[in-house]
Amino acid sequence: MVQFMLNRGFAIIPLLLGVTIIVFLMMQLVPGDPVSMMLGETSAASVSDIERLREELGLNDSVPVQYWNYLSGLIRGDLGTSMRIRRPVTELILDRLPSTMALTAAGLAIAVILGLGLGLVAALNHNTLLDNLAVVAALLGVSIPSFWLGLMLMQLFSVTLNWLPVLGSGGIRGLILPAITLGIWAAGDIARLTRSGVLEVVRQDFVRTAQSKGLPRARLVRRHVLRNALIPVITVIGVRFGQVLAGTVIIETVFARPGLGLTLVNAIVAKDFPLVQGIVLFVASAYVIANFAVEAAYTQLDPRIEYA
Amino acid sequence: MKQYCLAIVASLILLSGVAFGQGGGQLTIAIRNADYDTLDPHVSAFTQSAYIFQNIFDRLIYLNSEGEYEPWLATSWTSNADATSWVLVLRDDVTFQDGTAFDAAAVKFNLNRMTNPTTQSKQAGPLMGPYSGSEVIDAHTLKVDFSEPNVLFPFSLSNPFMGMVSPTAVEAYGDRFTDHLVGSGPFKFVSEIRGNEIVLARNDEYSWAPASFHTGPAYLERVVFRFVTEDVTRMATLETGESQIVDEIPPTQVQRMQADPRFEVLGASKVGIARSLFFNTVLAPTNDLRVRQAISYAIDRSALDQAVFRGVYPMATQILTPGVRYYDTSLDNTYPFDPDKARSLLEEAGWTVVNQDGYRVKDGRVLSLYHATFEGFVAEAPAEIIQAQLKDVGVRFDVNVMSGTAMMDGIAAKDSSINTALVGTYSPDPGLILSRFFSSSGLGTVNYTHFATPELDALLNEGLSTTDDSRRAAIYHQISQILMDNAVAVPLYANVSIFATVSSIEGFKFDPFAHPQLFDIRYK
Repeated sequence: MVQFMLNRGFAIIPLLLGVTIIVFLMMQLVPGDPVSMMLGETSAASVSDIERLREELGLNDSVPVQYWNYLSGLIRGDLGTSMRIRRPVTELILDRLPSTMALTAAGLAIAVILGLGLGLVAALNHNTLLDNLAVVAALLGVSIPSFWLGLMLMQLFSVTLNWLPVLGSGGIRGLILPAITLGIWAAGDIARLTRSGVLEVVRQDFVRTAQSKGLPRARLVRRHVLRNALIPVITVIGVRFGQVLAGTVIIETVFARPGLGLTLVNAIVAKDFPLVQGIVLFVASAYVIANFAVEAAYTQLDPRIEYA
Repeated sequence: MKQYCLAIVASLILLSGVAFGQGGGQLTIAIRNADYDTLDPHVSAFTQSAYIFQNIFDRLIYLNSEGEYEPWLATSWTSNADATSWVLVLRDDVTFQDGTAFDAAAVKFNLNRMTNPTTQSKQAGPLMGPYSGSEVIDAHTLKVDFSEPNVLFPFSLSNPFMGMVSPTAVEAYGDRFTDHLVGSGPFKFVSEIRGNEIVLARNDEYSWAPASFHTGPAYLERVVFRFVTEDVTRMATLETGESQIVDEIPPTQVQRMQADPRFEVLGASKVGIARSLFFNTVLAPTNDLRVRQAISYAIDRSALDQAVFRGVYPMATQILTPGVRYYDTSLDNTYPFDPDKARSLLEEAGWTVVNQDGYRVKDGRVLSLYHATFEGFVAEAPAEIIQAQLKDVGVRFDVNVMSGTAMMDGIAAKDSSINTALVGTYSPDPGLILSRFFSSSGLGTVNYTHFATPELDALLNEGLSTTDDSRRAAIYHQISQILMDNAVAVPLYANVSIFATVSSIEGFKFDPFAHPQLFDIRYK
């Protein structure tokens, strides 16, 4: 187990290095010059001012040199300074993290509750109307664009009914709509996997045995069926964590929440390379670590799985 | 118990009634553009930052909505004959929000800070122009020197980026000044969640507003700026009462909002260089003056106004928009809509053959323009209408939508393959913007038309160094004439910031920089 963790830990390094290179190259492809973006539409700056800024920001160096400068900072644990906001990137990320994590956690929780619930109801009422409804609901959840769903929920619950605020940063009340939007989007897959997992398990011998010995249905589902059906579901939740985190980009924009997603969108528009790089690296790391945690969790859920 | 609850509810209602009576209360403004840089006026490059920090930092001079200067922190400003030295007399009753006295030394500190290279100023420093230093004459008199004539100094001082910061606070907080913004303005900085919310509170000591405003402190107690990028969400905040002012109303929503008695719609026209089709004057076929003139005659602005701008955006017939200083109406009718004239000019230029698609051809080449525009309704929709209007005279107009910077970098490049691009900028005085866009020093960077002549260069320079106002008016008339005669651009419209407010507030207005002025706002 320890060996496994170490191996995985080392494997992350080239992966993240790859991420930095890809993001760096992609930012080179984005048209527009960060300095003219910094100067804005009405600037009184002259050509020499522009040249001076380019020099100070190191933009006159060749691309490999710029990348090397960035990487050597990264090795020292320095994510650089945002060109636009003039603050250390680490500070900006940490500043925004709580809001994004709260949304991710709430969204994921809703996705899991909704997904598991829907999946279970469907599987336990296999081939009934209830099952069909649940399958359609799951399909809708996956297919409806989240920004549209968010705007519709807002129109209904905020503008028409006036139950909840539009703007997403007023404590718990402000979290409800964004989290539901995010949760519905992520719940579909979980529901479908839960359904097929449960359907597969209930057909197996040990379930029939348990049933014949007169185990109450609720207990049977909880102790025998769910525990076995959950392994693929846990995998998908791990993958979904990353996607939900990425999904906050859209939700935060729709609900004007101050999080990493909104910061990332603004940074891309401004060609604020260090900030984009920092956030993408952070999200990529979170993604990798979540998957890593899922793999580690398998051993706890299923004693048959062992990592040498 | 029930009665107790009722009593609480009743008192809450009463309290909120008191809070929203005249002279008090909180106002929330929902803003689209969350992409501001910094709230330090001397460092910032963006008008969307100035939008906010102008409430915290006063300037020496106020430019009122008539385009006239009003004393603000300075009571008078006078220059020597060639405008290389200015004497500023300051108010003696002003203190910064941290108690620091506002005096000549503080202004000197500010001017030096703007121009210090370590400040990396993108607006304030460049606006100071050829600043060479200043000298404290007495506590409230400052002499400011320039190495070259600086006629536009009062204009520069009226610019929102020229806000006066507290020297004590800058020295105490250094790089962290942006967390502790201190000026002498009507509102104090309270808190900022970057890109999401900025909170300001009333400065109760304030009593030095310019003459355009009421005397005494602001009416509002608290102002909250909320950044809401998504249009639908931003409009929804107004409906739910989460905001009282919303900016950048999409033109498609204007009529609906105007019809709703709960709201009022206000437009702030951004005067300066009109949003225009800038021609690349060195790339075929737009290097031919007759082609450029033909296109100028072929565009029907009334159709654009009806379909897109709906009377909300003022149409422009000159490179400069109405409302800019020295605007000369005599040039308004240079290129009226005249498709026949357009056709005959094109024939004259040798584009006589028309192919089966209806486009003119010369030497086997179709008369086709590569047009670049940025995204957005007021940029893309007019392009489509112009496409149809130009087809009518036999010109193919290929519309290419790209990011604003890609467009500007694209057309500015010496080897550009873009014929026309939608460009415009704003400034109440034409001097700096015209010099930036049409001087030979901007070739390859910001001279998007690639049009420059020694005569024009000389006029642009003279405009920036002449103190005589009537002489300046003559110069800018001449410059406008040259630009129009050479048809370097087809002016289309003035950009407008459209705001909606709830009907329960009054006193909302704009300055010539199209910035919302909150000082006079109160609940009815």
